[in-house]
Amino acid sequence: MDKSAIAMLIFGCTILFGGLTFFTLKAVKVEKKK
Amino acid sequence: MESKRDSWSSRFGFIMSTIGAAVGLGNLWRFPYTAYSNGGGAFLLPYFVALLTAGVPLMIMEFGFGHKMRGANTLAFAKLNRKLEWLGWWPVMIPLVVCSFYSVVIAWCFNYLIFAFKGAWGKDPNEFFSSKFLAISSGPFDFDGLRWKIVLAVALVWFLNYFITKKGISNGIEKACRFMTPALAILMIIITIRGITLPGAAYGLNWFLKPDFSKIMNGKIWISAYAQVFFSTTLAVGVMTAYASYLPKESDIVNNSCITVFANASFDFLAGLCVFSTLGYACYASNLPMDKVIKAGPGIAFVAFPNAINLMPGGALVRAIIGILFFLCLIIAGISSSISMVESFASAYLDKYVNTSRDKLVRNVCLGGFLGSLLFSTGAGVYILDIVDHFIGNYGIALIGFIEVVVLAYVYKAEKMRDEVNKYSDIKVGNWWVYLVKYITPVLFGYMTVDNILSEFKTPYGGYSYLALIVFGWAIAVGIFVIGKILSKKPWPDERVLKIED
Repeated sequence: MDKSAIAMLIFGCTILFGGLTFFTLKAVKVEKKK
Repeated sequence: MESKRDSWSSRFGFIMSTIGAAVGLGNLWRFPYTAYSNGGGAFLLPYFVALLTAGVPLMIMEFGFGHKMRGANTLAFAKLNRKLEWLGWWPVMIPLVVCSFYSVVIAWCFNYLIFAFKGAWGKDPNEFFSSKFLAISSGPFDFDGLRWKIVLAVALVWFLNYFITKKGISNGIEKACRFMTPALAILMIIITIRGITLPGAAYGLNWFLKPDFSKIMNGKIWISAYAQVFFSTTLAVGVMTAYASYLPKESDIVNNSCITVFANASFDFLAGLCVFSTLGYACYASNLPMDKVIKAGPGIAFVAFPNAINLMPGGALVRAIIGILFFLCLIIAGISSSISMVESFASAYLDKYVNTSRDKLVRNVCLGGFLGSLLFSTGAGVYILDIVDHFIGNYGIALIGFIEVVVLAYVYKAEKMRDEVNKYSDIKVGNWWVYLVKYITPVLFGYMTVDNILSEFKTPYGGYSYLALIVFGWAIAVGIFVIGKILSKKPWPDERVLKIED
């Protein structure tokens, strides 16, 4: 696989799955407090 | 009136339902092809910018509006200003039209689910799809009778729409989506893992991810990225406003919006990985370049994917399992979206006519929808679907998005909405959000709308005759606006519901 494609894969996964995990964990934390 | 309204039984259920509504058939074929044709990996940069500058802000706006007004589109806009009620009816007419052809595409998926058991599409999936299965006629006015296999499956889709939606929010949509959305994620992950472990997957992924930065300064790519985010997140059709109106008062609007938008985009990305790795294998096994293997739109699912399945190693059983999982994914994604379309109209109607029976209303909507779907189940169905989809997307959804954002930002006031959404939110939005919804987003949507109109008059869409474009395109696009206007003129049976609560 091309190096620039690997870079975009890591970039995409970090932003999307990372962002989703971040917001989900925040929501779980708030819900647990309730 | 408050006590009569249903509500979500949990935050999890609400989020699963909004993700279910946003993730649809388009995620699985629109995003991969759009990325491929707009510079591959380079498209991801404008896509992420669009996600943060339009997807998240507009989702916050629609959630915030529905939640504050405690009403679906019609009630929400009528509460804002009685003269703006038409802006509530117009968007909820669109899902009804969209659902009438969307259900037909889900019906194709049901058929293909059965075909997958034995690989019934044979050695030439393209020939099978267009000539045997759809038996496409010569043009949009050559109906050539109904395709009964499709009609039967369409009836099943509308029955499912009816069966889930008639039960309301907590007992129907929430219960269904609590199961469907996680199931969709699991299935998608399974077939993506299968895809990326096939030989040749890297070749396919290069086409999807390798950035062509020479294209990044092209304005068209940025417009495509904003359009992809906008259409993919099911904005401006009253779905998100309706869903948010059933949230409890103390709800975190901002974080719920972020989760919905990021989850939908994650599905987009996952679909890209799944489709391109599998097509990469098809290129490897058939010794053909990507541009000979890939198809635009539904062709990815009904031609390119079956073709790749034909070439897969592991024997007939493995091929059948992959095919079944893939079409099951499409069916789940489709049904969780189609129920949201029916609900968008049902909620809007029931908020105005509170004494109407939900069961009766949903039954009538689904029966009408089924009859509408018959037009798309004929030999001319594909042509009509193409025209209706184009006009509804460009002159319905995009135009409504532009008007809606202007009205909410300037009439309701973006600053007021910012304070409302921040009230119970863990993450607060600042002035950046106000700036985006007041200036950036309207300019982008305004440009998109003008660009669409100009392209329309340059060349007739898809090479169809002007008569076909008028009958199936302009007449429907204008017709739903007129019907929305007429419905908004009807008096409210009980004007007390129009009072905004604190």
